[in-house]
Formats: sequence, C-alpha cells, structure tokens
Amino acid sequence: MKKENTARSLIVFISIVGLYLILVLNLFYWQVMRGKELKAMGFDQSSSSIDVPAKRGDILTSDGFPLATNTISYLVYTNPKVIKDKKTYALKVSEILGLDEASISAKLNSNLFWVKIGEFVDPGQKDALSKLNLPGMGFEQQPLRFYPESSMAAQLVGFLGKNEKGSDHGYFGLEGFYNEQLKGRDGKIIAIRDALGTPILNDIREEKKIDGRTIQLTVDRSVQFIAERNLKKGVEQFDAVGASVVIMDSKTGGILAMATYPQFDPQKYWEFDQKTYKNPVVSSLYEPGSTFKTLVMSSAIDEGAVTPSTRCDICSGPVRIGEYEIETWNGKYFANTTMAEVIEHSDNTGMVFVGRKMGLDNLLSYFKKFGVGENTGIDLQGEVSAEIKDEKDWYSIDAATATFGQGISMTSIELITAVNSIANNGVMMKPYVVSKIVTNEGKEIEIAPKEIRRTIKESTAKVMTAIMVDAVEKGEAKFAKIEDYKIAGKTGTAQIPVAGHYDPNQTIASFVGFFPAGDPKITMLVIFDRPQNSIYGSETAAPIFFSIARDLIRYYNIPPSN
Amino acid sequence: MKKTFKILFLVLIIFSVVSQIFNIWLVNSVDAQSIAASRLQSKIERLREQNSIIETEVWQYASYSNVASRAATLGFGNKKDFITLGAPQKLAIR
Repeated sequence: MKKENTARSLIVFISIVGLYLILVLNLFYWQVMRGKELKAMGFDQSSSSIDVPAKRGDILTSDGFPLATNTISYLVYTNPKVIKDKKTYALKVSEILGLDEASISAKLNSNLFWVKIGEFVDPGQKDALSKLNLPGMGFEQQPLRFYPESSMAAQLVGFLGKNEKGSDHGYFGLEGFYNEQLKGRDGKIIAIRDALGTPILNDIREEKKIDGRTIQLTVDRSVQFIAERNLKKGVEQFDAVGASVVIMDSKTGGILAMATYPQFDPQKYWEFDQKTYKNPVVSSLYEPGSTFKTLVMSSAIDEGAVTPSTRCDICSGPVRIGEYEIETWNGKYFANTTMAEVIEHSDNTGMVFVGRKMGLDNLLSYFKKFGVGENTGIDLQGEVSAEIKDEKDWYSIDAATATFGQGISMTSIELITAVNSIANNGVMMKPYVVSKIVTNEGKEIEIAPKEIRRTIKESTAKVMTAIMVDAVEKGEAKFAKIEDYKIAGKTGTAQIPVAGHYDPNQTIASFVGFFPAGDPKITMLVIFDRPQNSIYGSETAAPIFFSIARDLIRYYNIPPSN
Repeated sequence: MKKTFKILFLVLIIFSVVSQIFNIWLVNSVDAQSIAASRLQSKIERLREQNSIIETEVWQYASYSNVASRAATLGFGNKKDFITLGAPQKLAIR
C-alpha cells in the first residue's frame, strides 16, 4: 500500500515537473526565441511610421562649388479610369515629357486606377503639366542626385545608382569610396495609436535622421576645367583613343585635377558605355616607358652607382642580352654619353648601363621605395597595382628592359606619386582627393597631407631635377617648352604589348614633369592612349603638358624662373 | 439608489462624450499631425521645394560648362598669346 502511494506520488511529481518544464520551454520559445519578432509585430500594430530619408552629402570642389548635390524631381502618375479623350491626353503629355506617345497611350488604356507616366521629371515640365489641369494627374516629389558640372571630373566623382535592394548607392570614384560618409542614416517618425487607430497624444517617437556628410576636395574647379579643355583638344588633334591628366600639388600630394577622356555624364550614366565609368588613372595599368627612366636614374644617383657626368661605355651601338638586342628609340647611338645626356636623349642603352651599375637587388629595393607594385592608398574606389615579381624570377632581359620602363606595369597615380617625390626633395606624399569632411552638425574634419616615406636624398632630388630640366631644354620636346620658365620633365612612348609582342604603331604617349623647377608647385602627368597622328610622347603629350602649364602659370601667377 | 445610479451613468456618458470631443479637438489642433500643423508643414515643404529649384538653377547657371558655352556664343575666346615679364620694363623717357 505504502509502495503504491510512493509510486503515485512520484507520477504526480513527475507530471507536475513535466508540465512545469513544458510551460518554461513554451515561455522560452515565445519570449526568447520569437520575442523580437512578436515585439516588432505588436509595435507595428500599435504604431504607424513614416520614413524620413537622410539627405546625401555634397561633393564640393576647393572653391565650395558642388560637383554633386541634391535637387528635387517628380514622379508623374494618373488615373486612366477618369480620362475621356485618351488620345489627346497622351499627345499632350508626350509633347511635354518628350516620351513616346504610343507608350503613354498603352499605359492609359490599362485597366488600372494608378499608372506611372514619368519619373525624375524636372520642375519646368511639372509646371507645364500642372497648367494643363489634366484629369487624374498627380505628382510626387522624388529626390534626385544632381551634378551641376555635368561630365566634369565624372570618373573622379562616380555616380549614384541603385543597389540590389533598390536603395541609393554610390558607385565608382568618390561616390563609391565615400558612400558610407555621404549617405547618412534615414530617420523615422513613429506615431503610437490606440485600439481604434487614433493617435495617442504626445506619444510620437522619432528616430532622427542623420544627413550625410559633405566632402570638400583638394580639386580646384578652374584647374580641372583647364585640364579637361586641353585634354579634349589633344584627343581631337591627335586622334587618340583616350587620354588622362593628373595634376598634383607637389608639396602636399593633394590632387588639383584628374581628367579623363572619354567622359560620361553621371546624371545619365546608363546612357554611356560601362567601360567609361572606370577611372583609368587609378584602375588601368600601363607600361610607363621612358618616363620611368627618371625613377631608375634617381635610384642610381642616390645609390652612388653613377653621377650625372658618368660616361656610358656600352652606348656606341645596340646592346645584346642573350638572344635579344636593345636598341635606342630612334636608332641613334652616342658613344661615351653622360648620364645627364642619357635622360636628355632618352637613351635605352644608357639605361641598361645604369641598370648594370646598380645591380638587380638595388634596383628592386628602389622600386619598392618608389612604391612600384603597391597601391598609393588614394581615397578613390578601384585602385589597382601590379605585383613586382621576386628577385629570383627576374631574367637579365627583364632587368634590362625595366630600366627604360618596359615590362613594368603601373597606374598613372603610382607614377606621378613616385615622380612627385623628386619634386618634393625626395619625400613621397600620399595622394589624396578629400581635404575636409563636414558632418551634419557642421563639425569640420580636416584631412592633413601625409608623408609616405623618403625615396631618395634631398641632394639626389636636386640633381635629378636639374637633369630633367635639361631634358626639357634640350630634349625631343624642346620645341614646346615655355620661355623663361624652368620646367623639369620627361617624355615617354611605350609600345603596347599585344599577343606576346609589342605593336610599334600602338603606343601610350606620355609626359611627366613639375614646375617651377626651383620650388615646384605643380606636378603633372599627361597620357594619350594610342594617338594616331603621332605615336610619340614628345609630339603629343608634351605639347598638351606645356599648354596646360601655360594656363596654370597664368592662373597661379607663377613668376618666371629667370 | 436607482436614481443615483442613473445620474452617475449619465454623468459618465456625458464625460466620455466630452472627453472624446476634447480629444478630437486636441488631435486636430495641438497634435504634431493636426490640420493646422499639416498646413504649416505643407507650406514649409512648398518653400523648401521652391528653394531647392532656385538653388539648382543657380548651380546650373554658375557651372563652368554653362559659363564657357555662353561665353563662346557671346564671342569670347581663349587667350592665345602668352606674355611674361622676365624683368621690369623700362619706364618711358619724357
């Protein structure tokens, strides 16, 4: 009997514990596992909310003019059920909006109460439509990203598109790189309602929107305009496939202009070839050709392997390396030529001599110092760099051709940053585009210039500058130079590798330099992609470089050197 | 007792009707979503819209691409000559 009672008590106890456990587990399921979801559902039922979109930040040039800002446009809709004469209606609307009459007619003949007629309609068109007093027509405001300078600096600025969720998202250039800073955070106004749906007084909650930050650039609008005007002129004159110009403040590394051709209009980016979205200055690799000689010669002088007066003892004819023969670009050879003359004549055999004097390990160590093969860290989307292979993987022919910029791939920004270190007394500056970020509360965050490293000694930089001034005064581009101004520079004509060999008629023509040579203010690189009227940098990129330099001398009031 | 109950019931009904009317009045006049506030809000929106349109026009007119094209139609061209003063110019002799 006692045993039976104990068993019964045990069953009751287990049942109670079991039920209790089920209760606890159930509570855990509803309150913990589905708690958040149910809370949100409850909140949705007792409240109504309105999204308050954050205003996207502006992109301003150094003079405070917006390259990208916001404006309003309109979505136009109508109710086809209330329209009597659909043909006239479609004709009037199509005339104002510039849309196809047939497509509007098709929309008006649908069996719907609401159809969208047009998107991103400007205020002028909206006013014209309003005046017609068309039945059923309505307008809804739509925020629109607006680029007042149209295609100016398009590749630098990028554009605002839509992501996979249909939300605004910045792509390419600054819109892409600074998307998080520019977009801000959307806000919400939440009204709490009672069971009948009446708003409960004083119970309106607000999640404040945070407007995007405005970014101010180092880019000078006038310099950008000058660069683009000259570049366009050059492309038309030399019938080039494309071109680009980068202008940098020699002391700080701040980008004053970055122009690319062909351009696109960020306002209507979908109408342009997607290839034009990419900024070739940071995203396209090319063989720098003879402009690279400035870096190799600086390295050799800095290392003490040569001096400007060292004479080349292998320059009397082509230099044989294994099965290959290194020739000069014009077939002219200068026996016992000095190093200064090697740069002046852009002598490939002289550069092979320099390479031999330096040795591969030193050469590669200076490549590293000049940042060859690594990203500069510029604040733009899509920067690339080509890795420099290990020392053991270099053949003698690779080392020889690298001295005159063949077989080495770089971006324009990589090259100008390296050459700018010669202009800046041997100190390499990090290139940057944004000088200031302004928060929505008006707080200004200044972005200071940043030194990357010392590449060469100050004395070497001075010697190399003098050699580059001589190259301008006496070299192939001397016809284009500016009287009374000392400009340091170097031409480059690099053949384009096509299917395992170099095409002699397809070149990248370039000119890199800085001025005034005594106290450089501007460092500039001009590149023409496959110019057809002349393949040489001295006849294409150099004249455009000096044309821009003339405009900049006038703009900055730079006094003559003499 | 019955009369007291009736009076109390009546008072409660009157109170609930009055408070409901008061609530409606409050919602329509004082609340952030009231008719008066909505009118003000739509006025603000209209002004903001006009301001944005004017601002856009200013940027359009002041853009270099617009100024350059207008200058060209007015006959202004790019300066071709390039003059630099290497040394001070001699003063005219009387």
